[in-house]
Amino acid sequence: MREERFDVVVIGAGPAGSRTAALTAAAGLSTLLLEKRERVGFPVRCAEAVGPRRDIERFLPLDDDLVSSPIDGFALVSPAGERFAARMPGIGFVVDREAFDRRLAGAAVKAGAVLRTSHQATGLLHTDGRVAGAEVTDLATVERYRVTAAVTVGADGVECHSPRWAGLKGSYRPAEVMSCAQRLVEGIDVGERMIEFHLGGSVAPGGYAWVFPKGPSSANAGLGINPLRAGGIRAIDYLERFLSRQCPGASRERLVVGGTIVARGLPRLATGGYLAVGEAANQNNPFSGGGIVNALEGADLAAGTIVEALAGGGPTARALSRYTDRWNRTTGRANKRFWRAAQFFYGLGDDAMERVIGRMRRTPGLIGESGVDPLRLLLALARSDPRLVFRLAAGILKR
Amino acid sequence: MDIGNSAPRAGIDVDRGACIACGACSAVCPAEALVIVGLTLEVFPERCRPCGLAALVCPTGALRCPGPEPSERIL
Repeated sequence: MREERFDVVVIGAGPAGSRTAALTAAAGLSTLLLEKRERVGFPVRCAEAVGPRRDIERFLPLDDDLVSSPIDGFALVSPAGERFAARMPGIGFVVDREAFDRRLAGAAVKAGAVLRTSHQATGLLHTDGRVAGAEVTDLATVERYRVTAAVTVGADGVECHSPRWAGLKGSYRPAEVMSCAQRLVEGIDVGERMIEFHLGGSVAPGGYAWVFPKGPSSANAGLGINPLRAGGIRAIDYLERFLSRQCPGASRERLVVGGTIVARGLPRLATGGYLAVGEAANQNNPFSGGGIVNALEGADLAAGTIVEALAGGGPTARALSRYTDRWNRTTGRANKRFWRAAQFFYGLGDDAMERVIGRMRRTPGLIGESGVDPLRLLLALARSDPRLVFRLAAGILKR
Repeated sequence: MDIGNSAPRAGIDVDRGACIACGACSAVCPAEALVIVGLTLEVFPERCRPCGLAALVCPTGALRCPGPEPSERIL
């Protein structure tokens, strides 16, 4: 089998992989970026909402062509249809994920990385108990070849075979994934440019449904469900039901199905010669499912650790474990809290959720200038049901 | 499992020797492309857009997406 040699091979040209490749290439490491799809960023499998522009601008200039729509606030819709709305201009925006992913991959190429689309990693190479590269299939010619590399980066997203191949993670339990479906709906009124979250066991059991403005009269409308609470009904069926009720007049376009990992987080993100980044490393937020900014943060830590390891004693398990430590000290720590909050929040029954949202509607000053006032939110929770505060506190303080 | 040298295509490959018909894949599939019928796993490839969730939760590694989601399958 043909063999090639790089310093770094990155599996997957999503945000995590492209950003990592851009940074390792910029540091002078020969970098190969593999993408199994024909086109980077396509098809989009994402609800596309992100936070304030500055969150992204830490990583790349945010040109207008990457922004599908600004977000001027959010609304929570209770199981019975009660609406808690907060106008917050600048709270975030809906990104054009295809253009965004292509921009990031372009930056990697500009930095000197070699990008190959339609090339799929089909396994990892191991030497002396360490990951030593990847076996790759060129999907166009069906040729298989080997890429040896000092460091292999698993940025293979929700499909994440590579952490399993590297021995970092076995299979996921069904409760650790959200099963999702989404359509682009056209011909709806998104005049206020709010993002909406719809809650309740009949809408999206164990998760939520969303409507995110995509254009002047279009939106990404989708939902994620906990498969164990769905009573055997599939995400696509919940979606069609939601759309019939929520936007009956809209035309239902492009369907995407898939899911997201909402696990507690991998105990280790790296082993000798290998590290995982982005959703493959469970770096997305387990409460919201969102993961774009987290992936970029993870990529910066991963690339920094790789460059350091290759300049020093080599990419040993020990050297790369500093990446896990760095992640766990930063966004990884926040993600653990989000995971506990998710266990609490999505475990609430419809009645409790109804009371909480009802109370939020009646709590003045809940939304301050910098967003939701956590103290007032806690107060609203306590007034709706004091036991909830104890459950929340117990869940968050639990190690 | 040998993924073979055939051209990539949509759908999902089941290693029948490894599948224990536990139903985890069927539970997470957003599109009802995998269904447990009796004691065996039935695959409906025409419903599958290889999103990878089924393989992610397969406890025995019996499932594998043979290729990426082809662009023409987007509805």
